[in-house]
Amino acid sequence: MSEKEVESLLKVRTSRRIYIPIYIMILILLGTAAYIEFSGKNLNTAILGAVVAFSVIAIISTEFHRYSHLYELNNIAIMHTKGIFFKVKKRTDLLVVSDIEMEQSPWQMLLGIGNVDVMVFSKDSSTCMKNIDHPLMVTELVEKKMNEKKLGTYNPAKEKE
Amino acid sequence: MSEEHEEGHHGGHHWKIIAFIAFAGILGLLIFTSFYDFPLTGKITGVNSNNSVDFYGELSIPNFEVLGNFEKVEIRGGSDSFFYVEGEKFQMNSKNSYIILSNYTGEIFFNGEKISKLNGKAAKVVMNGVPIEPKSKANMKVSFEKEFPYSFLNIQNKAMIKKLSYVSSGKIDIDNGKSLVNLENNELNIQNFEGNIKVEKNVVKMIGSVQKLEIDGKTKFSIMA
Repeated sequence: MSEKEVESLLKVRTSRRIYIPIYIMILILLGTAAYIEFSGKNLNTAILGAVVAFSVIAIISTEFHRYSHLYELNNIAIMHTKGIFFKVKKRTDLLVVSDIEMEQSPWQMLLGIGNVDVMVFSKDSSTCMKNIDHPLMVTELVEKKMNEKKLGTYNPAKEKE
Repeated sequence: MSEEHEEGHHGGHHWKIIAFIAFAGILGLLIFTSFYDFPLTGKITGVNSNNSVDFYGELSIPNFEVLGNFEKVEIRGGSDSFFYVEGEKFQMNSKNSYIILSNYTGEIFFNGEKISKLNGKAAKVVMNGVPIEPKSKANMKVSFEKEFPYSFLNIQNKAMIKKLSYVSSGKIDIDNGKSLVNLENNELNIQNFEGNIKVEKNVVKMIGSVQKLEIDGKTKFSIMA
């Protein structure tokens, strides 16, 4: 069965929650500018321009960063697509996956996100899904699909039914 | 840890640091320029070749003391006093007496209601449309006998005020619309103003340039060219 015929079970991107500090910075700048304006103080137009430029650049950059990573899981492999205009696709067959590791820093635990490392006998060639939502659920799903593939219990016909 | 993972961490840290430095810098400037008397605007606005900034103000009238050489001085007003031109007396009975002094050199002290002192020399004097010819080629001495109530005063090219400091209301436009400031009983300090002064209906219009401008009070602003 070709890769295209296999339906994606999971598609994840970097969580927007990782950009919360950037969003807070934008809110602080816009809030301070609004306070200065409405309290009758002198709001410098050049600095207001810098505030707007920072906000716009920050939002565009975070969205670019988010859309430049796509992790896909199907019954055969895990795929990591990198880039927006120039795409690099890395495919890891579930048969060669040796181990799965979930990492969470205190900050990631607070935001409910984490990293999932899918390793191929050597850590050097692992696929790391960074800062994704529900990392535990993703880990369990990858593990389940990996075991199904290795034990040969995966039946595409059954899956279609 | 994988190479990909490590690279990502290093690159991410750089961006975080750059973003935070930019944020801190902008926030700092925002606070300093608004809450403290930080003369940043003076650095941004255009500075003329004579090291001053374009200035336009419509303000309440203080006690002005203007000295210099003016291309043209126009005065409209009237009183029971006399206007002297080279020792000749001219009565200013009419409420709408109109005087034009060309190439005037001297001093003019005035407030919103009257000209308290006018003493100098003019190349040409026109009173109510009638030119007064000089007896010699020299400039004519002109002065008011006493205070002269006026309704209109225009001093053109160039009134020079070294220092002006008073509590003012009105509006100021710096560098042709780049900064607009509304004043409401703010302390206004101007240094080295050069330009035209027009007084009408209890408002003085000052059009020219300044080397230093400070506004204190509820609205704070500062410029130094």
